[in-house]
Amino acid sequence: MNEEIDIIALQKGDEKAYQDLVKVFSKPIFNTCFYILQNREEAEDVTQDVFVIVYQSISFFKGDSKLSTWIYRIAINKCQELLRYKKRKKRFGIHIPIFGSSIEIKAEAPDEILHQEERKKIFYSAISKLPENQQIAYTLYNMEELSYHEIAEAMNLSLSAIESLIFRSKQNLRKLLAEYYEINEQ
Amino acid sequence: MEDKEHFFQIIDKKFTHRLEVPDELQKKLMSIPFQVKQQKNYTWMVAASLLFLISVNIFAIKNNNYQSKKQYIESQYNFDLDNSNSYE
Repeated sequence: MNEEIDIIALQKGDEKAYQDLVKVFSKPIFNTCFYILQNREEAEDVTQDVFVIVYQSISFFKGDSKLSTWIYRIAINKCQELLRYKKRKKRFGIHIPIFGSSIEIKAEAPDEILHQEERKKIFYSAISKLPENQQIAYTLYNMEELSYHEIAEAMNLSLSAIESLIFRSKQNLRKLLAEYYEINEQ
Repeated sequence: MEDKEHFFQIIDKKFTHRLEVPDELQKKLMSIPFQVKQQKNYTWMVAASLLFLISVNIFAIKNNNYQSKKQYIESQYNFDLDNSNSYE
């Protein structure tokens, strides 16, 4: 991804370079935000915030990591901020339905398995019930197909921590889906 | 049971489907440099206006002080003159 972007031109404020950046990264960032937040409007807002931050602070990018990782890190931080804000609001009694009217997952994820809308909802609902870090690591690994190393850089965690997060996220997803089946079988 | 195991396979699958970025969002993203520049200009304008207002105020205060001082010196001078006349 990085090869397509002229970082030096971008740092000089070149608009063409910025447009290239938007063309390359808007889709993956929007999708990441959407899968983490599971709400289209929020994902759009966060994506916009991410690109404003990227444009304003690209001059601080030193090239220690890949540009894509740096942008993913900003996106993850923004998503985490919003998730925490929502949790705080929920704690103070304002009900925000995470899965109800606000969910509108239209992704045809593993198409051959998830044929039914209900199954999709169950699966995404299970993902949203994972602890925040597991949810993000799982999303980046399974949906954005980032490597463990890239996820570690984006989440500012060690490689072993990411391996453990993804392993535990899969275990938890199994448990959550099993619970659903147990309830339905009764 | 088989169905359950079949469903569980999804956990290890990679998701291939990607949502398209809405046109409106794409336009907004493209216009960010323009918005940021406009915002910067606005900030500069506000800062310049504030600076101008502060300068005018400082000038007004200083001028006021100067005028008062001048009036005071003039009144003192007149008072001295009056007094010197009265001695004569």
